[in-house]
Amino acid sequence: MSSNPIPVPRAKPHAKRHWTVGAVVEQILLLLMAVFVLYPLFFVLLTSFKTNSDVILNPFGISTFEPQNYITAWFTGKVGSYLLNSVITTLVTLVIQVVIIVLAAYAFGKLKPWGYNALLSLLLMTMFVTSEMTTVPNYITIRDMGLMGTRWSLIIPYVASGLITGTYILTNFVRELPKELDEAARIDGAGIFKILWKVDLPMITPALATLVIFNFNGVWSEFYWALIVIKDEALKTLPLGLINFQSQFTSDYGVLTAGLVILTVPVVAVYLFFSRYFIAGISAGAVKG
Amino acid sequence: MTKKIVSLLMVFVLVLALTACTTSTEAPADEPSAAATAAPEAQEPAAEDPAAETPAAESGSPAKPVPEEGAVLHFMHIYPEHANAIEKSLEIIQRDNPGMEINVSVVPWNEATKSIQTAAATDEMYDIFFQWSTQVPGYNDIGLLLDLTPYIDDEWRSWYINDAALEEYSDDGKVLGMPLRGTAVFVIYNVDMFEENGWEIPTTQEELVALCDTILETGLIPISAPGTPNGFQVESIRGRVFDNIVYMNGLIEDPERLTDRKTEWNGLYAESAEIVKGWYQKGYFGENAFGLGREEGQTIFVTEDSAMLLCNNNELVALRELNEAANNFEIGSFSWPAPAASDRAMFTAAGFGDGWGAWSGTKYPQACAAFFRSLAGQEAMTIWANEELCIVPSNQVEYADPVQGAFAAQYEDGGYKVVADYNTGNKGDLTGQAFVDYCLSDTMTADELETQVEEITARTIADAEE
Amino acid sequence: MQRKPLKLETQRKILGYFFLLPIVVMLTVFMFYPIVKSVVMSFTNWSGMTDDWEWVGLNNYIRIFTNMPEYWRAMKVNVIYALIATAVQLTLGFLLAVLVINMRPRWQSFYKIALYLPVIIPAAAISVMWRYIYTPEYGLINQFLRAIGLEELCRAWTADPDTALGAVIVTNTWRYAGFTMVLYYVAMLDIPKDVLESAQIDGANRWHLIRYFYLPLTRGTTEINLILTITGCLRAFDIFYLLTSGGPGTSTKVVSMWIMETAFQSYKYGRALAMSIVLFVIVVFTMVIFRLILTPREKE
Repeated sequence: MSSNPIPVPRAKPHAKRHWTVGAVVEQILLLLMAVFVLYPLFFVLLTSFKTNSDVILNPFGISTFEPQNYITAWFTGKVGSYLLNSVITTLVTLVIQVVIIVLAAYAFGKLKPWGYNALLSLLLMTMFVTSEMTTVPNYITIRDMGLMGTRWSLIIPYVASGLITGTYILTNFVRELPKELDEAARIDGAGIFKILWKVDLPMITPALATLVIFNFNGVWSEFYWALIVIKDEALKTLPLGLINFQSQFTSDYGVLTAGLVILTVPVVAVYLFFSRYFIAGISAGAVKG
Repeated sequence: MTKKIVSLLMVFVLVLALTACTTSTEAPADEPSAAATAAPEAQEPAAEDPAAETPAAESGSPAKPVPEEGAVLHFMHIYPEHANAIEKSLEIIQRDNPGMEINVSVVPWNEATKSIQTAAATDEMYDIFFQWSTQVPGYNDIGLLLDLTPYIDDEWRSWYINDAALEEYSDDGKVLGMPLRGTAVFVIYNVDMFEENGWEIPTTQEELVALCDTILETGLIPISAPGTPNGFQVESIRGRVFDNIVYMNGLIEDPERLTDRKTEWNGLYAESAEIVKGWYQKGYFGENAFGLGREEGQTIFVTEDSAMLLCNNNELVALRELNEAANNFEIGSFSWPAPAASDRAMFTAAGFGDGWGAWSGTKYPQACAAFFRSLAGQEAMTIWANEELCIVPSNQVEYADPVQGAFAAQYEDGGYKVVADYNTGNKGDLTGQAFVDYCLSDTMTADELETQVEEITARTIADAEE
Repeated sequence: MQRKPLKLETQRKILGYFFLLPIVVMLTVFMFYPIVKSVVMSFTNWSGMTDDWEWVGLNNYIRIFTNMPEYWRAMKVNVIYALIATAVQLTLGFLLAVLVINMRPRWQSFYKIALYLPVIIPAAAISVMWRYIYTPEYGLINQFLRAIGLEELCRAWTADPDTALGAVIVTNTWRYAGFTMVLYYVAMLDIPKDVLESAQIDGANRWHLIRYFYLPLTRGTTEINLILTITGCLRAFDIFYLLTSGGPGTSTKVVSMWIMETAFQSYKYGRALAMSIVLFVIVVFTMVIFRLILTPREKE
């Protein structure tokens, strides 16, 4: 695509918008969609406040109110002791990931070294690797690197697992960035890192925010690798606490869903926080550049 | 490769047997010194059974295991819901075996095999791990399992409810695992509803069919039967019906059947499938049976939309809790009865599917065996039976709960259970799926199903022995 | 950066390699090495459990291509599922993004959060909620149908061969449409508003805007969404496992389930790896084709 849009500060959005029939229909469609999407979530939230019998006998109503599910989940799931590990592991992973992804996306989207397209295609293959193929070799690699029993045994494979999808998505956005701003900055004598930091990075903030959200979720709720790698109680992450709620012949859905809600709340918070950056787009970059 | 493993194992067993003998003769001298460093109460269990050590002195016969000094066992289980029993069992084991250190890993039940695979492939294998009895031949084929035969002395062996309990965990004539608890399907019924309507507990399959017809007329579902996944309890019942047919045709002790290698059923399998499909189509299990999971099945029963429920004994705790929250009627149970023409009352095919294995590569084989010996003892088994309501393979346990006691009584006769001597892999899932296909199909015939099942069996055997 | 006699363009290209170094190293160690190792082991009879294995040449592959009808039946389920689910998810995600981006800012924030929420819900919670939606006796859908007098439409949604795959597709769309939507939404943010507005002043209706602006200007995102979705569907496991377990019978059994069973029930890890690699090659091939069709041609 050669038609890179010319960056023009956006006109005041929706200045002259008024309610037409079409707009009402659209609003109704979206609201219906939102109900369709949110009802099951509401259902989970409701479930988390019920006794197990009430969940099974009366799935859609609520006749018991059992907020202590959350207390039970907090203690059975060892949320108190695992929370900090999850936070540290996820944060460190994301920081490293973002740095590597931004560099790679910049190279693929802007610098375009010889053979970059072939290299990207090659790297993209790794997006489709299955866990049966990677688990054992990576376990052995991590052990041989002497990282077992440390947080790095989680962080490094987590970093690796989120890299390619992130790079792929971000490359697309970097590629579409207007070249004119770069050139203007270069004429002003800005070095490449300065251009990357000051001009281009602000313009890809929405895409970067999207990435952080995607990858946060992936790392935060990862279960199987943590299960096999972490044996030390002091390093366990939140999803491992969920084991205590599931069994073959009995499940306490109230407590289980309470645990899942506890696990999910931080992800929602991160989403709420980062989705603010969806607003700032190319125009933001244009202003700062 | 198999030869290599077998010969290695033989050497291993020989060495083990030798060490087992020598250590056991030395044991009386050794133990006080070991006990002296540990807690004083440790001497008690050692003193408890001096009888067990005398016969063991004869070379070759099994001897009571004596844990290696400084043994550290990595133990994997799948029972977060039985944390209480696990904890108490470990206390008993450590009391019996002072100085033994045990590191515990819990994994979700549906990740058990995957965890074992990763652990084994990366040389970080658990010393003691959960296994289903059906996994024994497969694990044995690849040399994963420690042979426990040299350690199971006569006293230990005498604690089991029947010979079948250990046979279920045996392959190639060796005991390769330990049973923990049983799982079998029973018919649970609503005692209050039966009394109000004057229904009798059926003693033959014909009576049960007649009862179902009577119940159908009231608009209720006669038997709530969860059929997800893979035909689940409907398939279990087909199995019971099949056992009875097989028995009446004189094939129950057919060695091919007992080892799950039979691939020529001459219409018997088809007959069982046809009968059960007929019941399904008449509505005995409700029209949605194959869409119901365990909990949905229980719900239909406790809300009194059905008179009976197909349920396995491990669900009893959850079922009771649910029933108390709903209508709280009285619950009774009986086994699926045999046809009147049979001279046997029933077949339960009850076995002890949940159990343990020890790793062949463990540094502490004696400690593993000692672990199992303590776990199989009366004290630990009673905890599993009465605090967790499991049915345990022990004859030293008194069940406090009458319904559970009635279940347990049916386990004593386990000799006709099919115990495959090859890795059945996903055969059970596949045959169950074929049965569901048949039940839901308008065109597939029972004979086609039988052919499919025979083919699945033949393929699985060929694959396992490749 | 020192200015050397090298041409600026060359300088930038060389710098590009340095920027790519970290990702190449990470992926080589943790992805390519396992791939190579898996390919090697797929020519063995490795059980996955012990160090014992022997070369079996092409046996595993020959078996897949000549004597494994169940694998290809499952592949058919995967392909049908991938085609329908991808079409539905992309269309819906795109249209939602168009609708959302034309909302007032306040509503935009609401929808972009609401519609994305399912993506971050753990699979275990999804299985609990959707089971109660589909379950036949007292599930939400059947209760609703009974309430409006359409009782004859009631069925065991996940256990009826006619609807099981559809049920999975609905749940999958519910789960991931927000993901597709957000990617499109973020891409659409980069379309200058005044261009759209001047087009509207020139009399362009919504359809024209989609046809001439939203669709062509988000082509890169379409490529990404298409590849992520279709390849995700070809490898799908957990959603089938949670909703139908491959049933009823084998009607929704997907390739990944056979791979899992081969590896973890039959202990034929070598064969399971061969099955994984065949799937992997099919998925990569699909990706390459889509990239050739969709990647914007560059003049440089």
